[in-house]
Amino acid sequence: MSVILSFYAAYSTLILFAGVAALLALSIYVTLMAGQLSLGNAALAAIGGYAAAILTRNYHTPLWVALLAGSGLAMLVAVVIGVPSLRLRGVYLAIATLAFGEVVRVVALNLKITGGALGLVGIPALVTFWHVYGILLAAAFFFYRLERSKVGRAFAAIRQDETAAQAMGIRITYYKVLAFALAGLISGLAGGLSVHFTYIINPAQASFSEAVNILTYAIFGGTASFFGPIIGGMVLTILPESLRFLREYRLLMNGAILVLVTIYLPNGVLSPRLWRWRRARL
Amino acid sequence: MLACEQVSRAFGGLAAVENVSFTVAEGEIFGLIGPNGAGKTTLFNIMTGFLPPTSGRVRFQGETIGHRSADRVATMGIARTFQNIRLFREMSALENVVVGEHARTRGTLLAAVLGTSAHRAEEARVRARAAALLELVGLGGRATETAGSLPYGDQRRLEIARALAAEPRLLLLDEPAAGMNPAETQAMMDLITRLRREAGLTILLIEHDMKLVMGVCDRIAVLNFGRKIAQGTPQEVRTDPAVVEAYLGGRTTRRPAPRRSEAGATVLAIDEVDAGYGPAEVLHQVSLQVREGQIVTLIGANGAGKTTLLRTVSGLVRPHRGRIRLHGKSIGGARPDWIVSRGVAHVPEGRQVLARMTVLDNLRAGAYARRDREVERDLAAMLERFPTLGTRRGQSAGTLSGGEQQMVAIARGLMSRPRLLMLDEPSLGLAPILVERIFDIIHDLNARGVPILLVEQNAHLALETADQAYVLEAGRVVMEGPADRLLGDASVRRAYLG
Amino acid sequence: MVVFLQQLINGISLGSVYALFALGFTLIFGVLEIINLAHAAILAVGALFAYTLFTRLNANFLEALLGASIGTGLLGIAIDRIAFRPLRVRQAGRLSSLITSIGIALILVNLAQILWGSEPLSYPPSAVPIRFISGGGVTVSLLQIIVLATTVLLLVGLRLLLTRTKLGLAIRAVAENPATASLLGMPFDRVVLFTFFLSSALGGVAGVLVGMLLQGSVSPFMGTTYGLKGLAAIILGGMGDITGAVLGGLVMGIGEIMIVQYLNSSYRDGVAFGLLFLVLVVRPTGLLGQQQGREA
Repeated sequence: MSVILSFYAAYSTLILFAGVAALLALSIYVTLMAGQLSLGNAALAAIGGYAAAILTRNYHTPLWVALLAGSGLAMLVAVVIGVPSLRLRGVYLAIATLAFGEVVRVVALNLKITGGALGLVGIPALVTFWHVYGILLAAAFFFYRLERSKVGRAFAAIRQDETAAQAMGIRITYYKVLAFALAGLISGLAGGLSVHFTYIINPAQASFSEAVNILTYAIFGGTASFFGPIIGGMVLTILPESLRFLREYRLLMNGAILVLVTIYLPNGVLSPRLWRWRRARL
Repeated sequence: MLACEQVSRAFGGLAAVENVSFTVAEGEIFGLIGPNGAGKTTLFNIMTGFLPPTSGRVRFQGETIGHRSADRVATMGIARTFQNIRLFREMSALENVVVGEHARTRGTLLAAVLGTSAHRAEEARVRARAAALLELVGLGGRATETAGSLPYGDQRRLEIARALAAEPRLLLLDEPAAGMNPAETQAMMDLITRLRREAGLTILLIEHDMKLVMGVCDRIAVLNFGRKIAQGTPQEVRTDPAVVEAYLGGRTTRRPAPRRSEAGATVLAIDEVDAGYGPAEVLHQVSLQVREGQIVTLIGANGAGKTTLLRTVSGLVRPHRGRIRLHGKSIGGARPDWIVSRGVAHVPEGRQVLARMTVLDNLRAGAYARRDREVERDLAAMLERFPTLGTRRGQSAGTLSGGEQQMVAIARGLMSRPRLLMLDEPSLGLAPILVERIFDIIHDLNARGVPILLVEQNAHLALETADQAYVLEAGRVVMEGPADRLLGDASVRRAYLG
Repeated sequence: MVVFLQQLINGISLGSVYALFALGFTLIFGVLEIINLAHAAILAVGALFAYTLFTRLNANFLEALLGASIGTGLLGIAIDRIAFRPLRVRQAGRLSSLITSIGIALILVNLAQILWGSEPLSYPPSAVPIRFISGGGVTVSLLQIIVLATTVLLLVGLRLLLTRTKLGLAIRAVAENPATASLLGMPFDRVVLFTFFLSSALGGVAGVLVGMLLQGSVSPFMGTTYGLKGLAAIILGGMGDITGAVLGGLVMGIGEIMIVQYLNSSYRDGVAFGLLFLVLVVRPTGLLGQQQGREA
């Protein structure tokens, strides 16, 4: 038991990061379920993080309130950018969300309340293992149920053929916005959680490269089911740390993963096993 | 049940559908037929909310469909299938049908997440119903198979099952028998009549397969160039002179071209070719020859595979079986650019000019495969031969009229100094007087020694022009012979109109 | 007024670099309908190639430019073979190509880091002319003139290539309608190859010019901002349209300088992206662009 505790003490931040990465990967997964690629989730997480941090740091609100506020704000923003972006197809939507992400970063860089380029420090340490993994578990459960529901099927239908989905009576607009809202909610939660064990936040967390990291988690793990992004997020957070000597090659590894998985393993590393599970489900 | 009242739809200046009116009574099986580009699918799209009409209205059970979006229309009780099958390929057959029940599935996301008993009961009900629908269309044993992996005929049936899932009163089928062989078509016919009987559905279908249309429909409306030209029972429509003319083309006043008595060496030999796109086999054991100095025409109803055959010759489609030889050398399955360099020029359906490039550039593009130095000289000669193009040489090809674009396409094909010229539906969308001019050009070309393979929907015109004719039906050659002999043959009419 | 003119000149200078960069972007989009986000990394690699040519081989401006552009051109061909061709064969969607291009960008940047280090570098003074011409209160540097001249020459050259040569004809035809182009005997693969070479070479040139214009700007990471701004430029001017790319680039360059001058400079990047977002939402085809997609 004490081995576990000391292990955890040594690696707690990493383990918490892994959980947050899994959540972030899930946030990009939910929009991918509906056929949309959003590259703005890092920015949404940053919004959640900043909001939560400001509340706990400046106003000493309880953690749950801050998390709720942060994720609520992120969800709202997601809907606000989601609605006008609805008409955009695939690649254009990705770029629009990318642009949005950059705007958020620049705004964070300049506002006083967000602390400018240095960001905010001294955020209270309120988050423990159970917060992060409890929420992750709840999220996983949520997705498990989502995939087996009318909403999950609607997402999949929209992803595979929007025209046919419409002919089935599925309201495309509503579901796409719903996907965005969920993405905002989850990213905001992830952001709010992470600032409370790293104690800082700065604008770089809303940057394009962060968004790319999140994308890599999802692609690597595979997007056939919610399990993929979770695995992707956790593995890609823990692995580079344990392979310290590859630190210099981190970007290269990420890049290689994106290229190789996209070309050769379109369903991510877990594809064959997931396929078996899917057939069994029916 | 359904009433189209003076429905019109224009795209830009082009009227795709013009003042079409008809009604479909409850419990009827109603057919909508017409040559290529007549506006049938556009009409379907208007009826299902994918496109608003420019004028007129469609009423379903008394209510106007108007500008409702497609998903709203679906909840009104109209369901449809699509011309190019639109299944959710990654889902299983059962899941596809379950998605089809979306509008009738109760429950909220919250209930789903909490896993309430109401939710579970609803899921069970929905799945059971989907399974029953699969049984109804004969796919009961394939519920767990991935939709994308099903054989072509089963995919069409799955699409129907999915459409039925929404509990519609009116079912719209867009070319349900496309790409099917005679046995599958018969099975589809049985299914359609069974649906009307057992499910009490009203059915409106678009189809090119006359056997199905004539065999299954109570009444038929015929569209041509966006207008309704006839309506009635199958027998009435089949013998209506306006319909015959729309499909086979009118007789012109021209005197038939003098026949060349001896044909030369074989230029193009197609032997027992099978070809198709993905899961759909379109051509079955097609054999055809074009000799020096000949105009050979390939006629047949829409969807018969004429364009596919041309595309197989020019290399855009790979044949699965059989051989294609040009001047004795095999070209089947080779790359398009290599085939062009061997002297095959394909003037595609719909002209396909390079719209944003000038007329001059379009012609130059035609000469791309040539390595000699006489291109510019040929260019000048071509512009003289087609004076209309000469005056418009610097204009963007996309701004020209239909007839002028057809000239550009033909001239472009000629720029490659082809040893075989293939023309796909040169008369499509052109007014009769322009069609005469184009066919004058075709005659002239042939007189100068270019062998021509002509695909035409306008059978009379094609038969008057060509030396040799082949009739294609459902991907098979069903008749062949000298064109003037086929001209008077009633079986040609049967091949078109059933 | 004088300040305005001066900044206009600076803006045109910067804008012409953006224009060159955007050109490369839009060429590939026109022909293949994919957005190649690795283009930004290619800009950086081009600048770094030139750095090595300047410092190790004592090349002059022209030699460095030529060497860098040929180097990046070949790199572009390699990237197509490795990353994009397999996706074309599989007929994967455009999103896949976008994702792969991001991956390639990461790989290139990391490799550049290994080869040249992460610190920003400057071209040696011998390579960069520092003469100035003043008049009427306005100063133009010889460098700016060179940049502008290079851009204009390349644009003219590109235009000639596209309108007067057989290859240019093929590129335009394939961009317009690949199926018809095939029917006319145009070799799709070779056209794609050449387009990648051309596009990447232009990207490399843009990198060299940036390196010359801005001291201390040459690093493996220099491409990121240009990448996103170049994207904004082509979306603004219209995807797939060459004139649009040039216009978009100029607008971005001038706009950026003016915003720095007259508004709060730290918001400068944000304005570019806000504009990009708005353009996408309101008029995705940009000012001059072609209609979206050849969807059946």
